[in-house]
Amino acid sequence: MDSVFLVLKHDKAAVISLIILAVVILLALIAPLLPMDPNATDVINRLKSPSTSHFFGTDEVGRDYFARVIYGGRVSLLVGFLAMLTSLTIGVAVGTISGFCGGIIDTILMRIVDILHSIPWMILVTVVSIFLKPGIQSIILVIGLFTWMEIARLVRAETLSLKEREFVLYAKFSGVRVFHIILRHIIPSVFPTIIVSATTSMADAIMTESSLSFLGVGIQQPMSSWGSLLQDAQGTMQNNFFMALIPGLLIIITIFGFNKLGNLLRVYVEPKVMNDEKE
Amino acid sequence: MKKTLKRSGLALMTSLVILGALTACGGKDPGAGNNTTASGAGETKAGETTVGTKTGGDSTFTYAIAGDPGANVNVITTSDRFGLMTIKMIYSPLYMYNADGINYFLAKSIDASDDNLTYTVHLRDDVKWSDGEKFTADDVVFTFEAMEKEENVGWAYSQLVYPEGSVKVAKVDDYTVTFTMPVINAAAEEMLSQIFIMPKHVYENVTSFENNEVNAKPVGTGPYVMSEYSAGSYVKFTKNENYFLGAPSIDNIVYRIIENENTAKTAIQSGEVDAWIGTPAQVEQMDLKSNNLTVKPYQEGRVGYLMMNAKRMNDENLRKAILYAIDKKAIADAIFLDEANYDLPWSFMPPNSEFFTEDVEKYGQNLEKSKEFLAASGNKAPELTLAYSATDSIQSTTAILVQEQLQKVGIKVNLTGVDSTALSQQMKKEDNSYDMYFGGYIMGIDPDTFTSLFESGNSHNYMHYDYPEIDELFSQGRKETDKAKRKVIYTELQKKLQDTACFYPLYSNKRLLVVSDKIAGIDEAKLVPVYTFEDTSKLKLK
Amino acid sequence: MAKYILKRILTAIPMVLFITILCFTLMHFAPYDAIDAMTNPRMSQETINLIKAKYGFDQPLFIQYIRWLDGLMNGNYGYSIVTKQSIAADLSVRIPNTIKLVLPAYFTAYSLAVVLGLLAGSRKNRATDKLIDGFSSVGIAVPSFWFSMLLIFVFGYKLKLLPFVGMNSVGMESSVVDFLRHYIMPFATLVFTFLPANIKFVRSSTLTQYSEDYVLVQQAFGASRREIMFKHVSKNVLLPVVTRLGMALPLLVTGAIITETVFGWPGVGPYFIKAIQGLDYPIVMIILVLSATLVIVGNLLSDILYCLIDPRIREMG
Repeated sequence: MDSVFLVLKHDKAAVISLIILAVVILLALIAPLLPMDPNATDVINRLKSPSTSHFFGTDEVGRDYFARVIYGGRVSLLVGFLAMLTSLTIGVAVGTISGFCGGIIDTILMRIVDILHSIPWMILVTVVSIFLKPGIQSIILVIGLFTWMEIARLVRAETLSLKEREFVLYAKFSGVRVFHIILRHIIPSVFPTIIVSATTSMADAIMTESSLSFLGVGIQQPMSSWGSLLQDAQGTMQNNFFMALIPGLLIIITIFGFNKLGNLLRVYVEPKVMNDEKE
Repeated sequence: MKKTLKRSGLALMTSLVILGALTACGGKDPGAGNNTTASGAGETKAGETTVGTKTGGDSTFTYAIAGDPGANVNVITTSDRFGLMTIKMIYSPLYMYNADGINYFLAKSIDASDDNLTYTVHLRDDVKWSDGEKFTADDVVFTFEAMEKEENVGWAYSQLVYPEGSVKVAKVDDYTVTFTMPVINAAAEEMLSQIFIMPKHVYENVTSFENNEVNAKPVGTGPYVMSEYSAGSYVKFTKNENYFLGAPSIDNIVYRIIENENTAKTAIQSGEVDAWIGTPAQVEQMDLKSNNLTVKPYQEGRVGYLMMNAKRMNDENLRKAILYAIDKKAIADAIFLDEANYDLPWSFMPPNSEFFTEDVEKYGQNLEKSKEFLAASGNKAPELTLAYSATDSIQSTTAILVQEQLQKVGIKVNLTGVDSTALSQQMKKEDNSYDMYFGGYIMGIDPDTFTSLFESGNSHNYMHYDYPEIDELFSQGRKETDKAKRKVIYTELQKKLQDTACFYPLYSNKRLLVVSDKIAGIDEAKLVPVYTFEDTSKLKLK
Repeated sequence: MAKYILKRILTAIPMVLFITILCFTLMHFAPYDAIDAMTNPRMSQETINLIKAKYGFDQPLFIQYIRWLDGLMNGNYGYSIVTKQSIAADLSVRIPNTIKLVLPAYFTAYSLAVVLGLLAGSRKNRATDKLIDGFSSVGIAVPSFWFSMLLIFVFGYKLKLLPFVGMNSVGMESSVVDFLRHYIMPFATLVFTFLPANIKFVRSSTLTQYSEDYVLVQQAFGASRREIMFKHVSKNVLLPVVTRLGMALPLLVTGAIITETVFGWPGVGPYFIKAIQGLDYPIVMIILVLSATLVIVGNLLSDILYCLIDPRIREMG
């Protein structure tokens, strides 16, 4: 833990981004408790400048932009989080099974990983999204279902080496069921890797969701996400550039924050990295 | 009839194969570059004239359009706005029939027989096709006969072919044609208008109008000749020196295809394009003065609507619950900002029509009633899908507002933004996956021109309903020649249609043409529905 | 070595085939199909059957797949459901436009990344490194579309310096200056998009090299920083860097989807997005097959390159 603080002391940007990230997450969590409605239109007060009643002004149909940004963050973070969980679950399952069982199962699973890996993520995700009903569930599913390949590879590699360790061999020997070995012994051992991947995966998922929503194939109205807010801002940015500025900055800070968090966790779980980082 | 179902891109066909395929395979035709170059009007080189004041060469007027007319524009099947705008440039009709009367083009006059069944059209004898051939009555007969063949799916089919039979077209001499109606039709003159004439010698052996090689090299009688088409980018027209109403003033007109509204808005401000159609909200954001732009609003009688797919929404109570929840004035105010920019239609006829009536069920917003109907439908928490064109900001804002209004009575609406061309194709199928959709149309002056949209089972009836009494009223109105009696029939028809609650007219908005100050002669060219300009040859550069 | 390459090629083929089967199946179960595109509601069932027979849609699925595959091989990609235009024809115009944008941008980004990455790696934890590493850390977090919006706002709206619509102004198709003016912003966006990840990659390989024993040995022998850098480290760093180029192959088609969409660049991006919005399955599937094939071929090339350059692998053959 000390090492983490050491790193933090040297990285002001990380500290700042993590603090902002914490605030954003907090706001997103408590958003429903706040007295604001992101979807209430008020056409008389359209495109108002920021004021005390509307911190970030209003959008083209008079919706409070501050509320939309907060709720947008809620959607972006939720999609990121759930997609990460999905992708982590599949990745860990495939990785451990593939690595532990080996043989034909390993070959088949790794072929599938190869094939999915060979299609650019954007193409893959957009293609599948047209077969599903548009909506937030589909986006989570689609991102989760097609971003687990890297995690699976990492976990598989670790499992392969763990497999030869005594405690696993012993368990195997004494007739413990494969499922139990994976759950009791393998997964806890690869846990640090999983945690580190989780942060990267979260950052990637948020970026993917933003891109999809920006292109208009992601979140549908009236829901907003930072990506869809940016899409809308294209129309008004000539005169209201801050409407494009805010969601963009939030995306940057969030992704930067999660990447930094990943680095910190890596330092925490593999102290040797820290030496390398510091020196 | 101007039967533009806004952006209902019917055509755009495969003959575009020529367009890229040649470039793809290295080219069998050395002349084909990225664009097809029309061979017509080869004699008159545009470069020889310098009418415009633009320094160094040809004068060009660039007009931003929001959709691709496609490579298969033809007078038979094309019925989308941008396709028709293209047709208007390169072909001519017999005459145009607008609210203020007849404006003759290829015809000199039309007279009706005493029994009101036969109409004789006298044609101009000084018109030449852009390839030099003479225009004659044969071309007119050829075009109308092609339009009347069911398998050609011509857009004007339903106004030339009735249950009683089809309009008979006959050549009297080279410059006289007669049209014989199967039954008396009060709107006959209008029914024959706005149909553009194609050259028989070019299309004679074509089997599919939507898909052939000659569409790419159109030969016409219009003020301009299509000289280049670049898919997804632009359509370029060069002036027809031999245009029968006098050579156009501007050398080239370019339709620049810009689907993204924001991009287009920027392009007009930077001077990349000279004209563009904007929404009030977009125009409000622009600095017109410093960019030397003028806004020219004009009413084109377009009705923007909400339609329900009766095959999916078969409960009338649910449909009424929806309509009573909507406040169209609030929507129109939000989108068009000022009452001067729109009219509120209450029936399927545009408010500027003489047959328009307000004496119908208007479905003014009434949340109590809406909830009652919802309860009566037995569907406590309906969840519906509303499709709209993703690139159209008017439609997407309407969608947001409708969604919010319906939410208040407990109807959940899922919005689906779809590509506009694809949407209009999907709407045609009764098993499409949407409960409701937005669209718009500009039809003719006479109520009978609306048949194809509202008659049960007709080609453009996207509601897919089945109401024989509506069909019967259309049929009665068509045969009736007495104006007062027709008015009664059509009032009844408008009432009936509103009662079905399948169709809900939203707004009839003015189009705002934002145009560069360097373009003159707009009043002479006349702003008309669908095509924007009645006669582009009258436009000038300052 | 030849044996190794042959083996790699042989494993790639079934993968490509599998992807085509996947795409074909997806397309087959799509709600709209090619028959819908060729028929209209007024046609009789007989006419529709005739059309079906003409295009082979009455055959068993397996035969249809073989025919489709055969078409793919011969450059017949089928027709768009929405616009009814030949996909091969459309792509033959759009892919070159995308390549024009992506290829120079990628090479610029790549060369810059090599220089900056080596520089940062060799000056570990000094100001230069911190600056470069900081730039790439932030850069990775910046959405490309937001960066392009920023450029558009500054250079397009405020300074009114550059156009940002399409590839040419109308009527200026042959003007190189006009093309370049349109080119600057999308190009800059792409360079900026490709740069950070590549810097990170080069930097981390450089760091690994510097921690190798031979560097210590060289230092012990009193070799200058310069010597170590240019004679030894850079060579070893460039090896994986060069082979990474193969993996960039698919970018030529799908590398600029977002950027092209923002700038209205008439490449594959807007074409693909429009197809997605219009549920134009044939186009979507062709692009899927195309990009997947390019990834597989790219990886193959990468491996072959690596194997040609690195003698250690050569022996594995």
